[in-house]
Amino acid sequence: MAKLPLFKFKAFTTESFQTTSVAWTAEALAGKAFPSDVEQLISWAADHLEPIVGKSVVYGIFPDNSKVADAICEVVVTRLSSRSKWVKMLRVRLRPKIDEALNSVDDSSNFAMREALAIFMNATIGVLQFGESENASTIKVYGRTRQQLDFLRFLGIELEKVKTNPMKVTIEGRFLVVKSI
Amino acid sequence: MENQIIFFNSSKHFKCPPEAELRVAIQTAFDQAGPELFKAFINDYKQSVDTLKQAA
Repeated sequence: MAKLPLFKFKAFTTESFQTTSVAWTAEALAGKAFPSDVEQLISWAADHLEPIVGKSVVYGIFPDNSKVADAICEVVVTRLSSRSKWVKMLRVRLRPKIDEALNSVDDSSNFAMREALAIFMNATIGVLQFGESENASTIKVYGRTRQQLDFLRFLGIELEKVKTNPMKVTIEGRFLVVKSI
Repeated sequence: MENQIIFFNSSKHFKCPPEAELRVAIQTAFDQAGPELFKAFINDYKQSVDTLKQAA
């Protein structure tokens, strides 16, 4: 069984965003995604590289030792008051070649599924760790659709079972809401 | 006048659990939900940016 790389959740540098942009665009042009979708995403992400409170910022999920992100994770920090701050994870977009493999019907989909899970795992852990470093009171994960909320319910049940630094997890509107107990 | 202590409704800072425990939790959530629901979950992130603006 092919081995998965280790992934890291980190901010883009000018260089890593450029290499990611080139790689994703090439994959889209090779037929692994709609080029216009990728162009739109990259163009939007280019304007959201710097963290600004209340605005979306993008982070990359990078395989170890790579400057090309395998996913782009959209995060927003909202400060409600001096005592209350939220970190929200709004979406995780896979790079075109992984997305295409995930949705294929051949054997590559199994590996891509493991890859996608590893990416989501690192995005979620990255956002939770980022929330702590930001002194956030609440971490939220967005679920736009019913199916996304269904998956987040499974996630919430398991997160509440974590023993160290226990968490209270609820679904509020379209968000999985995570707080320390 | 009696001294009064006023408690503000302060929000506790989030304290992140260890990475190893989070990995187990997320893997178990995937196992419980099943690959098709997870795939739908990831695929749904490709949709409308407009909805995300509202969520932010």
